[in-house]
Amino acid sequence: MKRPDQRECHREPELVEAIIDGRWPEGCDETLRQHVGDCAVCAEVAEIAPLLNGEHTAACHEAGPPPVGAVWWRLEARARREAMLRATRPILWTQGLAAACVVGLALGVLPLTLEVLGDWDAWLYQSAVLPEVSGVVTSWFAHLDHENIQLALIGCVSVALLIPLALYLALSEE
Amino acid sequence: MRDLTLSEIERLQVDAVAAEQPFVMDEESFRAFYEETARPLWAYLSRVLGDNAMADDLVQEAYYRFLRAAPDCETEAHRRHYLFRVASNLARDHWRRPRPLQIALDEAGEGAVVDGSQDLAADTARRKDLGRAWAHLSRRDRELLWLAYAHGSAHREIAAALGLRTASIKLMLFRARKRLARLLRQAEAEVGQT
Ligand SMILES: [Zn+2]
Repeated sequence: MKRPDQRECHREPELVEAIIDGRWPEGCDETLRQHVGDCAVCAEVAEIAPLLNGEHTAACHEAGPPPVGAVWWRLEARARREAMLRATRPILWTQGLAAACVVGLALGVLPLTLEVLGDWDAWLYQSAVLPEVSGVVTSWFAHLDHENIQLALIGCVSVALLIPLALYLALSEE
Repeated sequence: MRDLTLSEIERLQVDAVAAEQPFVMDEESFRAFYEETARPLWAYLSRVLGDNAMADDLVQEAYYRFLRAAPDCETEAHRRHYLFRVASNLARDHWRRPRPLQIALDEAGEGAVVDGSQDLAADTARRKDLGRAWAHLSRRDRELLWLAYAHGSAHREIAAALGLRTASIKLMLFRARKRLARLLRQAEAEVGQT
């Protein structure tokens, strides 16, 4: 007798297997066919499973997976690329840190360079933040003599040349 | 002995990475596994998501994640369940909204009534009903129903593929089956009215 609230049936796996194997209904024994007629769960399964199994067959037929050789090659290449990125990441970090130091140093000595180069930069010093920063930095270097200032200038030029190089090294691998 | 420069160290590291095997599974085993699973995996993703193009993209991603994770599987069945679990996670991440089945009805199916092949025509009509009903099902319902009745997986296998408790599957599958049966009857009734 059919019970609509029944949730499972011990013969459901047997029925599903018969449907998947293509034995349902003609290739099954009479007792299973009779049972499906009497059981709410199996009747529903017998309605749904052939449809979904048919759809599965159609979908598998429709699927056009790429050749396994090409897939393996692509997956392997991707894994190696990612492993290389992981391996070189610490070096990239070091390079990035170096670039940041260079930029910081360059910004630190910039006001001094501007001071040495003359008064044309007065307008810059009158802006809001720079005068305070440069005031501190220039006071540090106030005691420097002419030779030391020349040395500082050479340093600034070197730094200016190194910044693009360091940034290139740090960012090119990314 | 001279010191190594930074770029030389980098090159040595890169060479070492290039020389090592990226996956635990070797190519031969992968070939056999892929040949067996690629089509069912595509079918699963395509029908759960209702999007063939998305399934094309996700199949390769599923294999990549599977190989990277290097699961310690004792049997082929475990391996297959793990792959479908990866695919289910991908389906969850890429699920946008319920979409109908993209059913490719072949010319024979469409022309069946003209040819007098009533069985084929009825089959085509049933597939169209399924397509309409499927559009109203949630992703979880689709996964459960597909694994249970398209693959014929046992509750324990469904639980492994979906990352759920085996005990929960019984009730969830019962509800999903009820919903699909009701939706199929509705779809049939709608066709009958038109
Ligand atoms: Zn039953």
